[in-house]
Amino acid sequence: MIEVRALTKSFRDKKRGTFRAVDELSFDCPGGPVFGLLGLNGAGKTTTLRVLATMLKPDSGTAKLAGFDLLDDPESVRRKIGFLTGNTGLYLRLTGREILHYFGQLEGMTRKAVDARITIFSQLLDMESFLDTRVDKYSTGMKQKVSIARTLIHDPPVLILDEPTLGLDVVTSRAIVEFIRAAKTDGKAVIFSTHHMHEAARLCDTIGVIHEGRMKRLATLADLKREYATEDLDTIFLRIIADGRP
Amino acid sequence: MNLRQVKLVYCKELKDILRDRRTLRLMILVPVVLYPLMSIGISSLMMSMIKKQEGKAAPILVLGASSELRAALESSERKIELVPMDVFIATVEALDPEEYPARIHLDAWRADPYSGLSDSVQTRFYYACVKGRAADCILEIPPNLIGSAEDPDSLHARIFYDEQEFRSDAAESKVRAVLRDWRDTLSMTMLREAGMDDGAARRAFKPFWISNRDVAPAEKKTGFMLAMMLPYMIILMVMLGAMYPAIELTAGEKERGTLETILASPAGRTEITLGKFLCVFTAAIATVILGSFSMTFTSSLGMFQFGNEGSADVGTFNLAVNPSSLIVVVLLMLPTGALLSALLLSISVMARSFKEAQGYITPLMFLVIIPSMIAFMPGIELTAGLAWVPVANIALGVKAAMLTAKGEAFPWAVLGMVFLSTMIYASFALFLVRQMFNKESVLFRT
Repeated sequence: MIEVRALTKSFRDKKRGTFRAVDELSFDCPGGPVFGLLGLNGAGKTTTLRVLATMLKPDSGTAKLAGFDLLDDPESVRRKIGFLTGNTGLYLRLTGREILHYFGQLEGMTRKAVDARITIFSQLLDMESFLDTRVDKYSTGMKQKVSIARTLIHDPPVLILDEPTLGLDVVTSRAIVEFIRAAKTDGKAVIFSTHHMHEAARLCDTIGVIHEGRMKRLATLADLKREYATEDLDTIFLRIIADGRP
Repeated sequence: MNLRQVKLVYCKELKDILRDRRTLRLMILVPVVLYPLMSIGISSLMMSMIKKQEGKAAPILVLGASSELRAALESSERKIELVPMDVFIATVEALDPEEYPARIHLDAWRADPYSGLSDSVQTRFYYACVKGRAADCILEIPPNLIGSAEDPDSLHARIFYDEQEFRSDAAESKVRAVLRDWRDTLSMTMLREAGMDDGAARRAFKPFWISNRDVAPAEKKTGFMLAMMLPYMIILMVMLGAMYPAIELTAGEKERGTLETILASPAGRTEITLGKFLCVFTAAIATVILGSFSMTFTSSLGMFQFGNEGSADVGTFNLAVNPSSLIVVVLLMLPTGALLSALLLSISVMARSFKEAQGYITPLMFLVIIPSMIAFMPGIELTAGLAWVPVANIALGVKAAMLTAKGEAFPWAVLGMVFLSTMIYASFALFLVRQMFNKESVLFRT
């Protein structure tokens, strides 16, 4: 459901001049398996995910998400994705229900359809008690629940998650992990970046290690464990970053 | 363009800013409550200060006056208190020489109050005396003032006062009024002594009165006052109303991380730009409307104090405005609101945070408010050339509209040019905002 082909994106800054944040990146992520994009800070994970979410335009290369090319039809791509980051990105002066209505209707859903989805999420994520309270009164966990519902309100086949557990406590992180598991069960294509190797080890079927904008290694988790003769993804990751040899 | 998305973004943004106390404070509290309160407060304070000063006896030092003049001053309804010379000297002597260095000239002045001091030293000395509250003003009557054979043009009764000091200015007015009356009485006495009867003396003294009547229509009189203030007030209120929503909906979104969420939604950049722009524009126009209503209401209560002292209309403000002028002003307000909203959005979208955006907007405030003051300048009128100068054209357009009395033709050609040029600038500014919303280096600036 996600096909990335020779994706390249450059930036300019005062320190480095023009540099490639993403360099000829290619990979596939069919529906079902969860794709984990691992890398150090500044490796190009966020840029890759922002390009896939059509927030940034690639310099060259392209990608197809749920059958739509992000250069030819970015709006359709956006209709097919759910985007979530660790920063919940919620409007503090609106209630959870108002936010879900806003994003649901932007996705083209009717009010009635949004209401029906809200009822489902409200029960599933136990949000009934706070859905009509303004977000600025929420705890981090409550915010994350509304964010999850916001991401899934239009039932997208593709989920793009940029470090969704960054800065969250154990309980809230767990909710995110459960959410990814459920998406996997529903047959959605999930691509997520993370720093937490244990999370990647628990959730991912396929791992892509990105370093200095290039795909250093792309393999299933099982193959990597076999190849590096270890169960520890931390060790595998560090070896890939160091020289790539087992 | 997806109008449904524009409407969704607009409604959501409007709901959001209407729940923001900071925005509401600037949008409603300042123009609706604070401005009128300040106007009422300042005018009431001034009126009470004037009344208080009028009711209080003004301490005056009089040099060389005849007993008749002294009696006239003392018995005046205007409340004047003559300061005895010894009290005056004692007060000046007690002044701190460091604070009042001119006090050292006291002895020279005492020796000859008329010509003991040079003009410049005398000015400094009397300034110290007034400031040190030895007297509110000093009246100097030369010994040869009355009955002298000298040319009357060279004979002066002089009042020394400090115009910047409210009590001294008020004392000067009181003394001058008494002196004028006394001079008139003196003139009449002289004419009578020259053998004229009362009627002839009065006719000789004042053969006729000069009276005038302002024939400007009431709305033109009001319009003149409003024409000076209104452009400045409108532009200031548009800026106040639009500023916080513009920052909130751009830099504020970046700061809170909500911009990414909306950019990843199916809403197009044009739809997002338009929705946000319309919301800022609504806030700007709402602020102007609320502010104008509030000012009109306050004015109609007669709470603004206009007019000159002594004129019949002190304390009232007759709000007679040509209704067509108001329609023209409203029409001009729309492109103004659009231009300033788009400008504020295009600037604040470049900032990474609320604080940074405020820093960017401060110079814009000056750039906008200074040309709006052109309406205060006498003699500058709206011309075809000035109709293309942004902001100044609106100020002059509003002024021209307010100065058009009922039944008079509006200068439609130049007003149309103002509308057109401002619409062009607003469209360009809006296009700029749209481009900014497409610029990755602006949206994802770190």
